[in-house]
Amino acid sequence: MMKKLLMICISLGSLLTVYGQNLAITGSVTDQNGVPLPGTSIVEKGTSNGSVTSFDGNFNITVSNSDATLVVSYIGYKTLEIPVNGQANIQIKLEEDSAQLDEVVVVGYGQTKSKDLTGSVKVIGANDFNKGINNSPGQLLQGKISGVNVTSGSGEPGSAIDINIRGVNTVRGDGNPLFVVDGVPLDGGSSSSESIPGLGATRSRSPLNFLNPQDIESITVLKDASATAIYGTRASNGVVIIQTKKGKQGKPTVTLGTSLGVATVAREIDLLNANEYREQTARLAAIVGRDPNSYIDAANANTNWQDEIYQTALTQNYNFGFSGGSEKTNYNVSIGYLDQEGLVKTTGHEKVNGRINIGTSALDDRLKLQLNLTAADLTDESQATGGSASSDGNLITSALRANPTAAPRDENGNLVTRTGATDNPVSFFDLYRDRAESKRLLANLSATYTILEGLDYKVNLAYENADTDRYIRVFSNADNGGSIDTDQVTLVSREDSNKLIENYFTYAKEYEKLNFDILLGHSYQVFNNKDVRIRRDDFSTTEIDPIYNLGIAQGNAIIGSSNTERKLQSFFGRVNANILDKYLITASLRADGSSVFGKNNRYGYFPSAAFGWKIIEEEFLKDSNVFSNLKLRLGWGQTGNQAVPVRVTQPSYNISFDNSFTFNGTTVVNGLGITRTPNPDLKWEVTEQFNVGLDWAILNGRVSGTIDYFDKTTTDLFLEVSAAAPASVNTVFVNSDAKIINNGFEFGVDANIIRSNDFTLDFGGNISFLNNTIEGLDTDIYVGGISGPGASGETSSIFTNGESAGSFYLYKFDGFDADGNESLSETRQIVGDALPKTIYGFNINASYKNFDLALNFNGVGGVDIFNNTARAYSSAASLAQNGNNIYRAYLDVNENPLVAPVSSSRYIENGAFLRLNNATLGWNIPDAYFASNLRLYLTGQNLFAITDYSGYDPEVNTAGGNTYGVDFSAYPRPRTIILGLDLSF
Amino acid sequence: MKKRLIILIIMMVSVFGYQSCNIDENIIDEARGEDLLKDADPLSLLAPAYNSMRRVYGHRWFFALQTFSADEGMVPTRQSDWFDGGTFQELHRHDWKPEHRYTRETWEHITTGLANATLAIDFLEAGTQEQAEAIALLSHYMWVALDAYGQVPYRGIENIDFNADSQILTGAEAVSTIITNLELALPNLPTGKNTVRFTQDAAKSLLARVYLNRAVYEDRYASSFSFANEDMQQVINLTTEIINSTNHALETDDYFSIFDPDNENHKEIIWAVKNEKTSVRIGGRSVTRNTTNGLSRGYIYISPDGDFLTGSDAGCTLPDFLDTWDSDNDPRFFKANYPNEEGTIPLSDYKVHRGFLEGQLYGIKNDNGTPIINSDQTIDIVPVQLWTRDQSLANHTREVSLIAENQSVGVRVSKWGIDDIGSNRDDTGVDIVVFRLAEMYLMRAEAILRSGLAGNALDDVNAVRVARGGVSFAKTNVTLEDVYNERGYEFYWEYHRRTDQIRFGKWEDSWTDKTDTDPNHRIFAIPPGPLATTPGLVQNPGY
Repeated sequence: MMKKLLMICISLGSLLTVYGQNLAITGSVTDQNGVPLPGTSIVEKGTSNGSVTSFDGNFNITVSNSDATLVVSYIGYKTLEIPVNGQANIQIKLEEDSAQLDEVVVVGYGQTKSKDLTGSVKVIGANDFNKGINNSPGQLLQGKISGVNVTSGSGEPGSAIDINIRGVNTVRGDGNPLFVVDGVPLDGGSSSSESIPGLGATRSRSPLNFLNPQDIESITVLKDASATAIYGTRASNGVVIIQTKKGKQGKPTVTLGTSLGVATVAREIDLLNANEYREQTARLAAIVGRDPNSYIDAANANTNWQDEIYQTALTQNYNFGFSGGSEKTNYNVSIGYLDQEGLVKTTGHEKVNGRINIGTSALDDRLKLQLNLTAADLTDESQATGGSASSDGNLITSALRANPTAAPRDENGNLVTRTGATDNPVSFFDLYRDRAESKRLLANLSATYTILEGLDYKVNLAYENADTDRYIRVFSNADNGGSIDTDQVTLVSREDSNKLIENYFTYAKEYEKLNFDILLGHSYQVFNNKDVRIRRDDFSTTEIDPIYNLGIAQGNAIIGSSNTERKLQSFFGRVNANILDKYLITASLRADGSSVFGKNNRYGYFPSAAFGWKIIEEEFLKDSNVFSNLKLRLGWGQTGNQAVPVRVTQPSYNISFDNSFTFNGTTVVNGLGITRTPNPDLKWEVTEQFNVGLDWAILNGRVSGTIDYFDKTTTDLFLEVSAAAPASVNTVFVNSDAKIINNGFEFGVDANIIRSNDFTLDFGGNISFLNNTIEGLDTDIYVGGISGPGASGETSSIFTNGESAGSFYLYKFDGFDADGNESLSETRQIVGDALPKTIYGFNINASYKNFDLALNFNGVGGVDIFNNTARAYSSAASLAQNGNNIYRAYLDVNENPLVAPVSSSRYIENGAFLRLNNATLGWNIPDAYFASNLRLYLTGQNLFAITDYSGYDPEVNTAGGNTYGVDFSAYPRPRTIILGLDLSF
Repeated sequence: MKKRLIILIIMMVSVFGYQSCNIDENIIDEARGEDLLKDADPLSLLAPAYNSMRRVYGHRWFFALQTFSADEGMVPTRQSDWFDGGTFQELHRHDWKPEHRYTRETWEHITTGLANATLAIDFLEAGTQEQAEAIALLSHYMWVALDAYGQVPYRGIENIDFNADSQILTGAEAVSTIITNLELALPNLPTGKNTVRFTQDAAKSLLARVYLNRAVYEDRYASSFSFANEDMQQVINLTTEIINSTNHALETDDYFSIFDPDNENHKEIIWAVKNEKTSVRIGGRSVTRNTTNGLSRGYIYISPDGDFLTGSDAGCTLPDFLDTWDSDNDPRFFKANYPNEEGTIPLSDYKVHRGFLEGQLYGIKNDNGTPIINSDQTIDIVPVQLWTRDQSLANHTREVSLIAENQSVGVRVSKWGIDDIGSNRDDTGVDIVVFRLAEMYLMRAEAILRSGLAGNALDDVNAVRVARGGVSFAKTNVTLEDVYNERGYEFYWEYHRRTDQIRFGKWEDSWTDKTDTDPNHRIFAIPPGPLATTPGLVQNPGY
């Protein structure tokens, strides 16, 4: 290293003697505290002559003449311009840029400085992510960005995450945004969830679980159409751009992180204990005419069934990485291991992942190459939880309603089969197993070539592959009197892969009064999804687990498979203009063609335009003492949603067993028929959005914030409606005339309250108010099948004109009348909102000397939850007739046990909550021998939540798809304490 | 410079090379070819039209609409069971809404049947037997739509254009179209006896039914119907042809054999919807559920595979209906398959009783649901008692109300055989009887009595009665009211009651927990989905 430096100095020296006019300058760059800043850019103003500081903050640059000006810039710090004035050695101190106006923000297909943004875009850097055990990037963002509502389906490790940006604007399918990782738009991921009929299964896990949060540098959320339109038909729900960490120039850094977490159920559900159960059943026995002793199990125990099925779960997390770089090449390599037990015994999530990011340049820096490669191996073990279960087949509801006077084991220590009206919940651990193994690969290679000054050509190639094998096995227990009457094993193997090739030109030019850049590109992406499903009943032996040998099952095998392909081709372009550094104009257009659209409507066109006015640069505000930043943004754009399933635009005839008939004896003749009513006019949904925003900063940037108002309307809603009678297939997909309208306000503020040498205190907060309405539907759409006995065919939610999407539509409950019967409205009506009207979050960060504390809160308001678990089992009839244990919150002595409960607003509860999402106390250990950074931290996740909800947690959606706010047998949310150590050298 | 240019050119080429990427959709896992149509076996083309019958005649579909809305059946709400959002209560009280789940699903199956039959007519060659069967099946679906909903979406049987709007037939036009089509197809239909295929006898039976109910279809909401003599004469002619053909004979030994698993080509059946254990499953809508859903939760029955299954305490019959019976003497009322009292019998002799299960039921002794089988392969017969829910004794009282006081009240109906039931409670070989000889006799008797035309109604009614109960079971005189009741005794829980009650003017009467008198409820509402998207369909009056 030293040798090289010497060589440079000598050659510089020789250069100097040959070109006499040039001036060689050396110097160093540090921050306010004297800490060197490696990687700072030093550029001779007006030229492309530049240099970068080395690991110790030193730099060398030769300028053309001694009157030159040096422009010194580094992310997070205010850019300085220093006139050389003949100095040969310059020491530069950079000041932190609180308002981060010079921060470079990644937008679609490019990047801009934060101060030049015209759209509604928010970036969260790695330091600001939510701390703790987070499986999916959505959790890192929860509560951090106004207008972005992140909800976990349940508390299960790796559970599906729903991210709704600025409300819900689709009827079919979920509203998750497009994820772009290092420039590669990811496939939506499979949304099927296999299950064994009668035994519940959960929603699919989050498809982004394969990313290691440690690898993520920043997450940028594009909220409004002027920013997202560049992504065309996949952008209606917003775009989340994830950038992974790349190496920086400097000596290699090795990082090591380990953490150990302990998780317990944050809040158990309040059920009747054994004594209360005895009391209440005795009281009800008289009314229903049963012997009170018939409710008491022979064991006469006092069992807390929730304690029997939950455990204290341990999580271990290890991360190791090394990164570094030279002038031309940089690299970042990391591997991580996560072993996360679930709160429910025998469940858990295990993940190994690795990443290599390498960048280099050739041909005199004209060609820049970047390779990002990540691979992950995930294993999930689950239990029979979640919806779609018959009355006996669900572990969590079985535990909630099991008889507290029963015990899991008999006097010999053997598991009993039945505990009241349900199979013994503890027996599920032996009977049921659900194991999913997935391998994920994401690779992308890009090359950028600078053809002429300002003109770049970039080609981006990517490959993504997700391969999952999921085994579900259940042993029957009917021989012992249980309710599972057949053995079953199911294997579902899915492989989703896609290949991407993109190429585009960018041209940027700077004049004195005008800067502009142009983007023109083409993208082609091919997706392939295939699966194989095998199901077999009846095991010949229980000695080995059939998931390892499907041949053990001897019943008829049901085999199916499918293989589909989708193609997407796009042409896009964008122009950015910056006039006088005051007026910003952005315009973009994308043409997207997809194979899933009908042949009459293959291509869609998505324009957008935005205008920004940097009011702060105007004369009347330039020297203001009040504002240090003020910018007005106006944006408009159209984006699309291409959630059309494959094949539905084309007719299909087939000969199948489903249409068969046995004309002679038992011989089946398969029938030929139409299996699909085609619609060649089918196209994308269109969302048109208008956004007005104001970015402001006062007190020299100490306090800054944004205010946005948006209005978006989605038309051509994609719906499955009845086909015109008579039709062989009763439904057909159409783009209807119905509309969904979302509008609202978003506010965000960041404040550096205290900045002193020893102590800092920062506060950040955001709040958004959202309004969602549907218009123009011809017929109401009922969604959200209610689970539980006596509720077959009932639905909880509705899409109807004038109400928000998925509102709850049930009978209104007005208490009990004198006879104990429910007093209900005549007809069903809107009884609750499934989508929150208010979303907010705030964080407090403090540091004192070497200690730091971060508290992140998030919450929602104006939302309701349909407590389907209570509806299914917590009524006087359920307790008196079936002996099911009930929620104490639903115990009402006025209720008549002879009458069946009705799905009504009785089970709609207030879903508002405020949660301390995570709190971290950290100690940066100084002078730790060889380590440049040693940090010990204690993090608590979900330390408390303030809510009125009687279930496990108010953040819940066990249904998924287009149903919101339903809780049926949700997996409880953990409270986790984590102790961790981060080391780097 | 040169190097740069070369690189630039290479890149341009690769960029433009991709401009013409093809994005046509490629479906690789479905055989979509219309080549399938060219060489298809006619039976393959005909199968879907027959198959849809199994769904239309499914337990919660046409069966529920005909049985649980009438005075012969009801599914009460028993504590927290069977409420299902009120579907069965609404059916019973006649206050169903247009979005009622089972009226909606039945409509969907009927229209699928209409579409499949129309498709078959289009694909099959004109003049062939298979095409005639397709036309006859189309007519039958049209009859079901007309009877239950009053509107029939129709595409014709020649020059069918699937992209054009369908015609919506109602009233007289619907009736005459059905009649014309059946008469057109008749000569090409198979002759002789075949309960699986739509024979000429089956077509004649359908024609007779349509003529008999014509007055109802043409003036649906009349306070009394006027049955034209020409129509009655047609009924008499058609039924006489069938009776005289000697293709069929009335069952004399065991009434319930008509509904047993091996009832294919039973001597009395003219046409039935065929089921086999190998048929595609329709799950909980199978004909087996007509019986098993109503059986007691404590009543164990055995499948041929050795599974011990129980009922679900759902549907029962009503005291108003039972009170019209001569229960002591009518062999159709109850058939005990083993002595219904305490005792011991060999396991192999155990079969579920048939007919109305009234009073305390006796069944296999068990320990909380696990049957106790003695070492000598006998079983003890004891009073049936539930081991779950309210643990009541299975004493099926006649008295029952819509909100039932316990799991066991209400007389249960075990008419459709379940002796060959699969362990899933759905697979069976019991064919669903649609037309049988007894109906021909009773239709003829009714036509004679309504019109005064030549014929002997008393002989016809007695032909059936004597076949069932012997000479002593004959009547001495017969009125229309007697024919109505005889149809009740003969065809209970057999997809007839609602149609009969409407035709005989009994639909607006009151019976247990039912007081509605609105004649608009003689037909069901068109479900909102198809209503919104099918041009020409309008909602029926009163909905």
